[in-house]
Amino acid sequence: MKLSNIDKYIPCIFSDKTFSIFSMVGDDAISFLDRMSTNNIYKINSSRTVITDNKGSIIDILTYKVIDEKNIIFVSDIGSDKSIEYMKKYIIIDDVDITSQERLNKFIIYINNSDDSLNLEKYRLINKHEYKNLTRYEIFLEDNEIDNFDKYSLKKISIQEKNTLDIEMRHIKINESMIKANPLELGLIDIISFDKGCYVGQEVIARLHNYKKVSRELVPFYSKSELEINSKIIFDSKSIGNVLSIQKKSDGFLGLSLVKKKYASYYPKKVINI
Amino acid sequence: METNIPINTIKISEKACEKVKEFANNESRDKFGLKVAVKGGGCSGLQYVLEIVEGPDDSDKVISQNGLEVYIPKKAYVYLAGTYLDYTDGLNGKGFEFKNPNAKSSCGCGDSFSV
Repeated sequence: MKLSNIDKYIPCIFSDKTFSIFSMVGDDAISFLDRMSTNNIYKINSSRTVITDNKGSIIDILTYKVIDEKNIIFVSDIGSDKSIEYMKKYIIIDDVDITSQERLNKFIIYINNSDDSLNLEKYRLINKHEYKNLTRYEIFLEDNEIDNFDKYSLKKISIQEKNTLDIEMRHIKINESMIKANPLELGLIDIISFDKGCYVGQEVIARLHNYKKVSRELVPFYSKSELEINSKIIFDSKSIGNVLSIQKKSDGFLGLSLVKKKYASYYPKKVINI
Repeated sequence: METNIPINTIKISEKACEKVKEFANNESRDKFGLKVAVKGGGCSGLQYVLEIVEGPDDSDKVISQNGLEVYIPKKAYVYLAGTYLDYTDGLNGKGFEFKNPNAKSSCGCGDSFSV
């Protein structure tokens, strides 16, 4: 279901803040990241990968690029040292060192899937999220690369417009205070490898997937009153889920919630009105 | 099975030692020892590492048992102290099997654990 008419702006660009880029260097760099996260780092050298704990809950999502067999660069979604410190705990006998490098400017670009006029894949650190006919790119650029985008005449959008598009595209930005969720619940199945073998949290994630036991899903909502991130969604006097993102609109609030599947199915248009 | 292993060491069963020697002989190694370590990974966060090597690294703790030298990296020792390593074979055998008192939980196959 269409939540807004904001896709009339597409193609468009949002200038986000700057992010620290990290490098993971050493003989065991690729093996280590492969064992610590969901994606197949050996096979896919530029993408996103989810760091999970041993219960399968998300700790962070990294946008990474394998530079060579001993060097990976990455950016953390939560943008803090929490997941870096978490990974460092597991460096015991591995030849791996994680260090902070320069800061890069983050841009988010929304285009139609059919639009191939932008050659974005050439940039060294990039990730992409597709939903229906739209593609959302995050690219991380040095100052001297920014001017390259002027020639595309992309419409610059505000943070409110960007948040609305993200809700439309079922995209969640991970943050440290977010309620516990696993990557399958957030629709991140494209960056989970089911045949690469063990990684931290793999047993839980594989079981949820194979036995179809994923119990919650992302569902957009409209609310007349403002809700806080993580607040409970009450339906029929029962807590059916939590708010993950919210954006003020002219007639109320639009957001994404993580809701128990059996309740989500009550809503034929898959939008909860609170 | 051994259940009371002093926490300042790890113990390897006679059967496990014999099996390591058998593997080393199959590889025609004259000089060898068993490296026992842990590294990040596996379903539960930490996975066991067994490797037949020529000798210890500088930072390894060396233990001799049943005629076999065992090398444990000092950084890994904190996760392995008090562990009993056994070997079970036969139709239902699991191969090398760790009984680690530091493990709060293990994955289904027993190859990884959390502390």
